Amino acid sequence: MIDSNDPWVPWEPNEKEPWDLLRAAHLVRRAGFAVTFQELDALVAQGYERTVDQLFQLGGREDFEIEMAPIEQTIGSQQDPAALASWWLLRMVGSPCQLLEKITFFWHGHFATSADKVADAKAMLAQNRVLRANALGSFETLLQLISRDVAMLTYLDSTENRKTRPNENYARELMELFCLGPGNYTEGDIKELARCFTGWEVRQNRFQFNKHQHDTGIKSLLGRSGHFSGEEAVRIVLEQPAAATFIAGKLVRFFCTDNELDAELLKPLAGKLRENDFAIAPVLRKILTSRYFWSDRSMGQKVRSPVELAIGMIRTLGLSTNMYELRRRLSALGQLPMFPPNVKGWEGGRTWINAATFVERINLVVQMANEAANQSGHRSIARMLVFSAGGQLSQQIDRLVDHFFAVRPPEATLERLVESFRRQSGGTNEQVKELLVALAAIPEFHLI
Amino acid sequence: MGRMQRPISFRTHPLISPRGWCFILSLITALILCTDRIYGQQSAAVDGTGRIDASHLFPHDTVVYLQVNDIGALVESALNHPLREKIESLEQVRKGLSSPQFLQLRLGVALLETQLDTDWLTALKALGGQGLYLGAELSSQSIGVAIHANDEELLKRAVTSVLGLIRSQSGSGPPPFIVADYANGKTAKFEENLSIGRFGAWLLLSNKHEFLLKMADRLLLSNEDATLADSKELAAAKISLTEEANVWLYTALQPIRDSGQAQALFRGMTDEPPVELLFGGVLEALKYAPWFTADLAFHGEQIVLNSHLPFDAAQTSIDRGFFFGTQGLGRAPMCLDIPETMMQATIYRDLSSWWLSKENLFPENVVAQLAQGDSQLSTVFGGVDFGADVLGSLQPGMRFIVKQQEYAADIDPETKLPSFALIVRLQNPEQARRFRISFQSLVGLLNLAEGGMYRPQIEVMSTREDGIQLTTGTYVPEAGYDGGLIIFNFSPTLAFQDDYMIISSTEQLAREIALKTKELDIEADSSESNTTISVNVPEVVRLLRLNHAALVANQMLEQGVDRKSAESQVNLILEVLEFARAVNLDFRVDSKSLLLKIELLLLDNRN
Repeated sequence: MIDSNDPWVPWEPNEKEPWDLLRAAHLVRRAGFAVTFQELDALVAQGYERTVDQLFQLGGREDFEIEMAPIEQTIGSQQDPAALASWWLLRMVGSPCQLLEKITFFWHGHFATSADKVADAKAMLAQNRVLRANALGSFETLLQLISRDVAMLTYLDSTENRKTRPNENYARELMELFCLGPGNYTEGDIKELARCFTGWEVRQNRFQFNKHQHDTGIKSLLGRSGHFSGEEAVRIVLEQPAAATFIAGKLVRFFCTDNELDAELLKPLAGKLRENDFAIAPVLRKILTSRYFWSDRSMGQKVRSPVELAIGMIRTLGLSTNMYELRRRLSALGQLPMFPPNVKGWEGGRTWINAATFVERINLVVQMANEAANQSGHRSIARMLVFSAGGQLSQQIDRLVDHFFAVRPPEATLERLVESFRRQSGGTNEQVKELLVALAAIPEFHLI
Repeated sequence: MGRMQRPISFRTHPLISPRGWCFILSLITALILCTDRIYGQQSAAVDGTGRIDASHLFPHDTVVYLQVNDIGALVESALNHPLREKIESLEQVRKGLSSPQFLQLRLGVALLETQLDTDWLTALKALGGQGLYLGAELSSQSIGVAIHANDEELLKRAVTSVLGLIRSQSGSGPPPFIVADYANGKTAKFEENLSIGRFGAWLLLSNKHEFLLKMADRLLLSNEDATLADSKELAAAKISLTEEANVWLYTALQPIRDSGQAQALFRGMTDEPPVELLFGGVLEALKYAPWFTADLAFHGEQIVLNSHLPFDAAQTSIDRGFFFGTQGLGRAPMCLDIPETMMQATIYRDLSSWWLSKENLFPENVVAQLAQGDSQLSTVFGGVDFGADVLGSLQPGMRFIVKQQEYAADIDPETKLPSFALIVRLQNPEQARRFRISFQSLVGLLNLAEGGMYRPQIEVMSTREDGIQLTTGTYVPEAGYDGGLIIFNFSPTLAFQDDYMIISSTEQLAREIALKTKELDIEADSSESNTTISVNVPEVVRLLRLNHAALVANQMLEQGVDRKSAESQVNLILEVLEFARAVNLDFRVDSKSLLLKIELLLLDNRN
């Protein structure tokens, strides 16, 4: 139950809602891309508060960054945009800071930029570095950097912005998609904001300010007048009351629910954002530790995105997967990192699933389960499961349900599953593989 | 098929008249012949090279026939090869040899060795000493294998032991096979598409039980049905069988063509212009060639694959003249002696004839695309006809060279590509100007396109010295440029020396080749081959080592593994490659055949 006056008050584990496998799995699925059976056991054992603290701990990833650096260098030097998605998927699988990777992915969807159009791997990598470095920091800093980001300006055809012909593309998206949302500005504001950005150009793959092309005249923007520069204009946009609510709403939709949100619900979060000068970490911590997050208004209220499905399976089963092949599958499922469909990013929610993608999603699980059953050198999935859940088939199915399901499927469905698998000889990789596929065919599997 | 004549001894009996002896002798002879028909055919025929030939075991319409002579000796020579010790010392191989799966295999082999009372290699040599033969029939989708042992008793024990092991695996349940007597042998039929049979010193295996029984009949009976041994095509194909071959493969192509399978291979046409350019002649021969053979020979440090496809110049379409040359006499130029070359290819192709025959070589949709390209290329080349005037100004012989390159002090691309060059000869050196102008136009177009995106520009410089004219494009490094970009592998160059034209990715290579062509005797610049490719493996390894970081990065993404695993996998590939010295391909055309020889040269010792 949640307090309807302030759903964002902190949640504490209690007798009715204990910190258990179900809840630990909910947290790591939302704030990252899932963990193995053993890691989940360890999180339950170490307790709720320590687990949350650990999520926000950004240190200790130096070795991982050293591992990744040569791949970035190779992709950058070969200017191979197609490999970018594979690189990021590998990062998602291996990153020790799962929350950082997840929120970087959130910002990628927010400031959607596609390598398909940018066609410059170095610029895309540079943007990704900016997103990651500022993902939990100040939104204002992030917005200022994105406003002069080569990939973003190229994507929005804004590499040239002359005072005689201000380019309105970036100004429009800044207000509509990045900061305020529709209805919180006028067409006139877009024109004035575009004047503030005149002289902002991309030359030789670098951002540069061309003072000769900057409109130094007085601009009237969102009720204020002055000789605003681009930086000042960004600050004015962020000062609008709608900005904090807009960002809070995007965060809640990404981390809590696909459902429509009431503006009143977001007020405390918007307040928290303003109170902290748009610092993201405090408001995100508030969201992830709130009663709302741990209530049935959030648990099971999101459709598992293709990336969450794939990376979650890989991480849970400890797989080594061909990232080029995974890229192909995710493309078919409609969510390929670095290649969002348009500047609005991925719509998400129910759009992830239709007749064709549902079959593809099951096929993805079949592929992952096959790989898990075939890969030598890894502990077999059957042994992992027996180790975690004991020898009884019903216990093993319960363990899988706790791990993969945010909402428990109907008991009758689970009983049928137990009955059907009891007839087969047990304890083999093959059996666990088939069990995983059978679970993936249950509709609740696709909710997180 | 030869028949084994058994010695007959008799002595005169006083109670039997000579007439009676005649009758008895006739009866005995008939009996012997009859017995011989039933049980006397357990030996095999011998072919012209003195080797055993088991083609009589397979049906007349067999489409694939493979013979491996003396498997044991083949395995023994591999085991005794000097490289074996080195390969076994590789970390990954050592890990594999100590893996549970390998240890389990070793345990099974040890068990078998105990039962056979001999080590596995000796057993293998005895069991496969007279060869392994495989035949496949398309109509019934059947495959049969016949293994002829030196030691019949050992074969009997081996089969009994293996069946015993399989039986013991099934515990208290019934064995997964049914044993039956058949003629003078035994067969075992498994549930899953496998039957085996032992008949004297022969072990037969097949995926279809009926096929196996028919093989047994052919082995044991001398029935009147024609077998593969009666095939005229097989007899003709045996001209390619040499004494050196350890493995020989024969494929009857007509039944495959008739079955409608692999139509893309046999229709004599492709939708892909590069495929036509490279393999058009082979596609032509595949339309009508009755058979194809390949053989593999192992000679210590050399492994040679020879393949043979009948060819009839009279049946060859005039449009394939670009591939074969007039009367099949088109010959590639000789290889150039350029030090540290990674790969060199020489080829005979008349590009102009190829381009001008496009209407007859390709389907309509491809012709339409090529016609569009024709028009654009004609524009690039100043309005002249691309096929007749531009390609027509080139002689048919071409060379392609790939070589590692050096970089200027301030340039260090993170991905280091080799330099490469195409060398052709002009019909008339005066035509060089047209190409030079077109090269400058292309660079100009590229600069316009890249300049629109404020990307690095190419500067063109021309020089002439010692009879060599070089036109070189160099990327202009802006202040603060990124020297790690892949574009800095290139300084596109067009060079001319006498009638030689060199189109190279770098100035360095263009200059080196141009100097080398000065040493050539233009009149004698021809080889005996249609196409040759030589790969210098140590140079390839050197390049791969220079790009180690990029290879590891790619392996991480391809396998989804961490850096340590990726490095270990890449290092294994490099270490294995280091055992090879060269790979050479030689494709020749004579009046009756297309002959392909691929040779792998191994290092006999590695420092």
